[in-house]
Amino acid sequence: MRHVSILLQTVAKQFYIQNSGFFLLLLFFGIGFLSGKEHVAIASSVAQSPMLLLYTMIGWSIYLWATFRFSLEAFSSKENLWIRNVIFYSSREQWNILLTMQAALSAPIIAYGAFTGIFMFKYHNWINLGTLLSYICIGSVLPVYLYRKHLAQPISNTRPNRLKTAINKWIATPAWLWPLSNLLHTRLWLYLATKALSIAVLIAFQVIDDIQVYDWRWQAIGMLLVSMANITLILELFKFHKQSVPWMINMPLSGIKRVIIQWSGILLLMLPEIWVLIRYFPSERSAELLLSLIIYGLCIGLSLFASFFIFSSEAEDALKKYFYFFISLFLLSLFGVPVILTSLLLFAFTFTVHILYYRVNLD
Amino acid sequence: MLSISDYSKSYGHEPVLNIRKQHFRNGCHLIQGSNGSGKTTLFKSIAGLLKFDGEIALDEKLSVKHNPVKYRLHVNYCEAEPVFPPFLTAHDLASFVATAKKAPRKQIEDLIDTLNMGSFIHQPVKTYSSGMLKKTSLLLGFLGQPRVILLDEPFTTIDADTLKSLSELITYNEKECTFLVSTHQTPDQLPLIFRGTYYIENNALCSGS
Repeated sequence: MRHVSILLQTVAKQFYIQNSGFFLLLLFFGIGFLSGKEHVAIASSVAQSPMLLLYTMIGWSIYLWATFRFSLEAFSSKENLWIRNVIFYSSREQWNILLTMQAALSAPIIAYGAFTGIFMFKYHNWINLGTLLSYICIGSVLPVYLYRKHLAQPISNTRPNRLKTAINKWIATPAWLWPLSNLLHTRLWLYLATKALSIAVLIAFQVIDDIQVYDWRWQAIGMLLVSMANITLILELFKFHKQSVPWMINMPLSGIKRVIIQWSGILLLMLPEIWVLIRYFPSERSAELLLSLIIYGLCIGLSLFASFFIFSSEAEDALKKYFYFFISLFLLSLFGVPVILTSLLLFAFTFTVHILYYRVNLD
Repeated sequence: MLSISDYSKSYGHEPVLNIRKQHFRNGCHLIQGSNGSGKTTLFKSIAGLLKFDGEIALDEKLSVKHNPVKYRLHVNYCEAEPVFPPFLTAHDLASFVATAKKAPRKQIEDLIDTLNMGSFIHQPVKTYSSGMLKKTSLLLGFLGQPRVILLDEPFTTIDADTLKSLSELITYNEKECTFLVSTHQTPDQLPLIFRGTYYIENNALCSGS
């Protein structure tokens, strides 16, 4: 069993880590946007309609193809050459090890397949159930058969053709996604914990909100707390820029291009909160307030990011500075300064930093 | 005996190495050549890791192309710059490869002692120095009952004691095994007696003695 665990760590776990962004998006969509009833409705429809089942299987096949490609790349990579020894195990052991690995990779399909299968059983739709079971069996066995064939052969070193190169270029992570991608790969638990906290605060503020009791300042203070909760993640994004790609910051890019690369990271970081805010925002409140709160939240995030360029986050009084920053914004909201005006001030600060003080000292 | 015939390898349209006919009997053989001459390509081809044109066989019976699995079971390869997943330990890797190569339990323990790996065998690879990585690669390279062991730059990054132990290990096994060793050091700098010395020059393997 230890050998199965080694392969699971080396291939399956790495697959989930490398694609954590996709799975998080799936979770946000699956849990944040669809209610339990909607999930049941979708699964019931898939269970009863062969056409819907076919579409679902097409989606699953794309996912299976991605897992298959990932495994082949893992087996051929320099650091995993030792995995090629799997071919010397007995045939039975090879099937055990590789089938378990493939099952772990296909876990989302198997789990959703089981969920849909319950409804097929409930509606006595045996043809769909049989199709589903056959698909899951073939989808698990066929990759293992191909893995064994691949592992027995030498690694191909043929140069990729033009089409492959073009596709690789197209699907390569663009520069504006690097910071967030790095954050998800290296500090996934910090990201999840922070998002869970900030989203919980945001939902609490929306649920407690009562238009008869509170005015717009209640929402503004909520947004301030939510944005400030992201400070550690924003610091991680800054550290990535400063430590991993300082050459990119110092490059003579146009101000707009640099700003887009750096700010898109913050925008993507705050996207879950923006989604939750839109979904739970009280209908009695105006759309203008919603829009200005989104801008306010983003401007706080951007100004925190900009502040790291001029104030050292490692300085002894760093915590004090950010506490004063929070108190100042809190007081501005409390005394009725419109959030859009505060946003303008914050944006002006951010923009100035990114134009004048953006360079990273490489010494 | 390892036999190579009509071997030809190229990357794209660029030829790397051509070998008309070459036999390596049991014993230690030294392969030398400048950087990029094709030593590692030759080793990877012999290890069954790279595709090539021609034929490589063990005792003229086990062909890398016709019986790749049986052939590879008897050919072990140690990389010049080994890399392993940072979260695994040398023990994880050794137990995985040892089971695959049907190595007796005692063999792992003996190799751990010989290569002086006891102090870090259960530590994750991410904590290893380049010398520790090299030792891990050497440990994996000697597991099982190999008839050919390919050692790509085995003497770099290891300490003097391990160098001595490795030389003894090679000498002890060379009666039943063919060793191909690549290094940039001259033969007189190494504590080994080579049965043959070869140079890779102008995309060809030339015998030096």
